[in-house]
Amino acid sequence: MKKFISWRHPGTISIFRMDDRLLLIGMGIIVGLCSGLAALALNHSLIFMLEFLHDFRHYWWAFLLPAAGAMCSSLFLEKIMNEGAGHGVPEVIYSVSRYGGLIRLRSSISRLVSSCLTIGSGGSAGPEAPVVMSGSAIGSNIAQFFFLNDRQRITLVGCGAAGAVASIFNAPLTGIIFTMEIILGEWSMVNIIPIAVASVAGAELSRTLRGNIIAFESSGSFHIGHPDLFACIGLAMFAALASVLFTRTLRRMHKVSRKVSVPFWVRAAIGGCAVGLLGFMVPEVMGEGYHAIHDMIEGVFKGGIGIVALACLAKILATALTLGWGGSGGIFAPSLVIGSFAGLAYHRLLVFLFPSVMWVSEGCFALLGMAGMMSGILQAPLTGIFLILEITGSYEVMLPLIIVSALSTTMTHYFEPSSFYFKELMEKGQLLRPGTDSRVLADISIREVIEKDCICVRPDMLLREFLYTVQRSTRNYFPVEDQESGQFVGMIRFDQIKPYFFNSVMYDTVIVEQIMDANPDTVHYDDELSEVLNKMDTHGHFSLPVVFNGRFVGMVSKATLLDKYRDELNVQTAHSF
Amino acid sequence: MKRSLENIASQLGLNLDTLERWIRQGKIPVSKKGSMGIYNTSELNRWAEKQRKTSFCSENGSSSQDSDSKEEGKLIDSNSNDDIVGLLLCAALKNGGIFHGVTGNGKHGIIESAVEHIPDYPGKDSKEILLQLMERERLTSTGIGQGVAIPHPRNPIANGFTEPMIVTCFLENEVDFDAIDDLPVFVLFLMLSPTVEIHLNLLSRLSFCLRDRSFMRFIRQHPDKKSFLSRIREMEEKLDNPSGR
Repeated sequence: MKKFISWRHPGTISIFRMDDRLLLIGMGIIVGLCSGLAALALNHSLIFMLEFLHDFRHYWWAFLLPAAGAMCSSLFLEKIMNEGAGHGVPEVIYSVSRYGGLIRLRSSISRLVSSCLTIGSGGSAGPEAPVVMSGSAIGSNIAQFFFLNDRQRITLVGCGAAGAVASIFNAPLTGIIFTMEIILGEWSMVNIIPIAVASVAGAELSRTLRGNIIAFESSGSFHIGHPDLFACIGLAMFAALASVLFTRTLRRMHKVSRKVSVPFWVRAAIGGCAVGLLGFMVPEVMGEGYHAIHDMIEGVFKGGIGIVALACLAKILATALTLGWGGSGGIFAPSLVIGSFAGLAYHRLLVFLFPSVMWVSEGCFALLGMAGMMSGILQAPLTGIFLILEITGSYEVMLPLIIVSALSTTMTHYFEPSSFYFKELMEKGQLLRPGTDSRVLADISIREVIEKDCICVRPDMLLREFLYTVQRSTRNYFPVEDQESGQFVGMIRFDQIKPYFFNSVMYDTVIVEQIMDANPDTVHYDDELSEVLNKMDTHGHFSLPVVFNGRFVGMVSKATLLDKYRDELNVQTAHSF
Repeated sequence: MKRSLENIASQLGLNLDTLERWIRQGKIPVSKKGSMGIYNTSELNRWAEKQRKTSFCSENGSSSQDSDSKEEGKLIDSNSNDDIVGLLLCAALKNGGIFHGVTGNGKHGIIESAVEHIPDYPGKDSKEILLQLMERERLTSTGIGQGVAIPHPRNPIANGFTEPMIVTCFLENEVDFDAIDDLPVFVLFLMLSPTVEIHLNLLSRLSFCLRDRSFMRFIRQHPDKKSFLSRIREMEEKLDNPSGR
């Protein structure tokens, strides 16, 4: 029995208690393998769904397929799994910053199934975000199984995300960087090593089971000339434009769909129908769209500039219709598709305008477009660069890749100041990145900063008696409590009543009730500290009474808060023991 | 090492809730088992140093237990000190002694003879005390009005002086003391204290008594030692326990 408990509690084994890095690396491998497996499972089931449904695509009613898929997916999520729609990445980020990476076990499967239904049936969305969610949930639940603490759990959540991304793209570096840049938001040594290990494990698993394939490998190599480098600036603008358009369309579609008062599954079905109809005209918009990317990078995509531009807009619309109306999936893959369409369109435009210049092949521009789009949407240039580098295997495009990514991020930032993943969180005030003010405040609770050394007084006390209380007290605040009920009735601040202190006539004529502030600002025991501070700032208070069930509990003061705040900041920014 | 969470929290100067949260979040090298915290002393010390918190110094459980009990002992000590503080004035008056029929020539003379009445204590230097008293008088007179003067040195008495004392001298004849209300003085409370804190405390207690009209009438009759001290004790108890009024 003792043995059994100790293997479930590896954190309490003395060698790991002192330095848990080895433990985390070991756990990281397990998590990486599991989440990699989940990613591959989704990948395979998607392929299976596509093949299975391929024969039906030629019928006139094929546009109903995405509708059915989206409907099933939303029903599955809402009714069976009891989870909201969406791609899940913001939920993971919020859970990491607020609940120490606590994620429900069912999340590890829910998004996999629902996104498989949506995408497999032809909805325009990506399988990456669901895979990240699922990997994170696997990591979180493994950590919970072994009773690890919050910090270790967060690391394992990161491991899960990294393993999943690494496995689905066969791109270990991207897994690490995506996790650090987007999911965790901090670069710390204690996290990087287990996450890197998990990423490698995920990628290795994918290579073993699928073979070492590079997703969009181009057959030829690219020779970048000086004109191409200049053209990159324009491409970055193009990509930035596309990402702003994409972000706005997605969000607008969310708002529009919410105004339609039909059940959620009907809504999802309507979106699916629209995508299906769009697919009749532009078949490239259906599904994750990786086939189109492949063609574009190989340079065999047919269609002139008009068609490419149309496809780009259609893909944006289709993704917005799928996700905005209740389908399930991520924006990773659609961004890649839109980016490559944008890059291709830009290349066609260049060739049209300057036919005499020797441009590099259009595949290269499609690739750069993808990078620009990713960096713009996610506001994470490093993720964009490494993802494209790894999934195309073209190291020679490094230089323009960096230019496009950096510029696109910067330009998009003018219009959309936050990443697509963070926007929702920021609107709800839930973006709590490590080491920031809001994160520190979110972690400290009122009960940790409360001071209980105030002396309570009665409302019917004479000023003379009150003076003796003042003499004994070390504080300048005196809560007034009703003697019988113990209810908090008011507050006396020492500086408010100073004028009466030197007037001995008032000693026996004034009672506490007359000089107290009968309607003071109070805070509740469960209030967030950020709200408390807000209250203090707006009214110029330095201390506020905490009242619970009409009873006085203690004082919260800025001075004590600063003390705790510093401690917390120190602890949060110190990454290893 | 295993100790209760409360113990660790107080050693680190942390709130118990904060400590528990930090353990849960893995921000502190302590793990929890029931209500006990398990840690490695040197590890935790290193951590505490890094956080610029008061260092968590305890070599082993027993010694820390000792230091704990020592601290508790100190607390009790200071509490009992408080009890003394409670009747500080009474004790100081007893220490200094009460003398009747003190004579002297003018302000200087009267202070000089009062200094002679100061009971002996190790390292007593009457000349120095007189010097300091006169220096203080030059600043402003310590005649606080209504025939009372409280001569005292500006600074606490140094070397070897531990117990505060007030030498009460009822004068044979009233003496002009340049008091603030120009009334001649009939009683001197020569006050000597080891620290400023005690000095202020004594002063506030004495002035509390002297503000009382009936007490003033009482000491104008030059009461004897016993009734004087019992009256002071009564007043002082009233001061410490205002709710009993």
